[in-house]
Amino acid sequence: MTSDAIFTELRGMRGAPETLRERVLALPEPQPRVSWSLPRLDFRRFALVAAPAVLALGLGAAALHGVVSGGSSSRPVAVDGNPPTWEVAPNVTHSASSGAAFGAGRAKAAPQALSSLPPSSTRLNKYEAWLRVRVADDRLSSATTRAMQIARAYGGYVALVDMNTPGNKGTASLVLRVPVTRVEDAVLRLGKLGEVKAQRVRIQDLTRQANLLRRQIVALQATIAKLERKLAAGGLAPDERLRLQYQLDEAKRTLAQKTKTRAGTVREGTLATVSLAFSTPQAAVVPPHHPGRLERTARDAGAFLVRELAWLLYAVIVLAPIALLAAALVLGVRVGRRRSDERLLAQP
Amino acid sequence: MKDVSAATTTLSARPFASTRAPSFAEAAERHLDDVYRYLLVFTRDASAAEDLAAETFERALRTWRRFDPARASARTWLCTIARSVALDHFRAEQRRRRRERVASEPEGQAPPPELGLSPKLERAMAALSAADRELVALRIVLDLDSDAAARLLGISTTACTTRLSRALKRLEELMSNDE
Repeated sequence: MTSDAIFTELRGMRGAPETLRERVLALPEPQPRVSWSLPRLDFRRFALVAAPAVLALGLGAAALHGVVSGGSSSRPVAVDGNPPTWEVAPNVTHSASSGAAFGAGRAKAAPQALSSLPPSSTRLNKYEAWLRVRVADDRLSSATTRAMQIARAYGGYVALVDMNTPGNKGTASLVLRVPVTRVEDAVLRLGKLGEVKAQRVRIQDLTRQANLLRRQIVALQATIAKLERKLAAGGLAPDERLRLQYQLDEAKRTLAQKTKTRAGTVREGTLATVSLAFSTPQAAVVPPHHPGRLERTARDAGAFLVRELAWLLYAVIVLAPIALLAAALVLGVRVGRRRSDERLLAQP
Repeated sequence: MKDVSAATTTLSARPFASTRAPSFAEAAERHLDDVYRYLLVFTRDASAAEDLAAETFERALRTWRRFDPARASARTWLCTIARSVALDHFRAEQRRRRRERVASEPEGQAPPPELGLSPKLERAMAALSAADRELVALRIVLDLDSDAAARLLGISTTACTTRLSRALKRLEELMSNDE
């Protein structure tokens, strides 16, 4: 028998019997397709679209982050010699800085006049000022001495001095405590000792905190007085007396603690901290680099991209073993099933 | 005898008639014979083929919404379901035979040939493995193109062609020896 004869005979096989035909054709028509059903996901097509989309999204996010954070330039404090007006709200911290030393990417470092923020005369303020002043090579020692004298002249004291002068060139750091009421004048005078390269002033209102503590102290004092009256009245049962005595001791302990805390708060609001850094021109080895808007944007975008890659790497490191294990399991099951089918179908 | 490898190349590849999704009734009407013939050759048991074909269409009815005419023709899709049903049947049969062996019961007679072919071809088909019969059913009886058959069997097109060539050669040898 030839191949053609075999093909002809095989293709001429009988079809389905009538009983089967009736059985199958009696099956009902299935429910119509839902028009809004999700399209079937082809993995290769999905990967082809998803990979560039994720890449574009990552780059876009980085660029957006760069534009938003890096491109926005902070406005420096007015340095025209006239102190700007600042209103300090309760419990709100105000800080301002200028120059290069206290903020990368801030205003261009240039010799500038000193500005100061006046503390409120009616409220309790925690006042902190940082100054970076450049002095001539041969004036570092005298400027340091003069700064100490200024602090004392305003009723303050020197908390720390750290002077490093190899020859006539070097740096000096001072921490001065000056009464808040006179700190504005002190800062202005300190600034005149040389060329102000950077400054930062931070004012935190402590009035609300102090008032709260005062109210707590008054309430505790009233409680103590009441407890003492009860104990003095007598006629109390022993266990009641013991309980009241315990409450009295607790109230006194809390009062002492609150009083100490309030004294510390008031002290903080009484003496301002002025940190002063003197430097000579040669001491600044590396001149600070102030990138432009475009460079800042690019740098921030790059940093964000690096963070994204780090997250991605982290995710890959964490998920890869699990994914590999799952893939191996699926593959193993598939191969096993196929082998089993092959063995099954190898028989006549 | 005609060269079988040459013969296999003459098999016409039937393109998908249309990417329009036919209704289930249309598909059942059009491809019932194909599914039945495929199962009949695959199992060599008319009653089993009838049951399996019915089960195939019942399963197809349940999953009809998943049928995508852009991915495969209705016939290929139905054959894929039929294959899965047939494999389940073979596994069940294998388990049944094992149980019978364990119980030391006498093994039942193999079903008599019921393909409706000439006795020689019936005997030759019976000597082929189920895998080879399946390939003959898909490629010769149903005239499925090699790509579709390969996809259905989960093998490469080359492997599909090679296996068919060997199966036909074996079939011819068996028939020649039978003469």
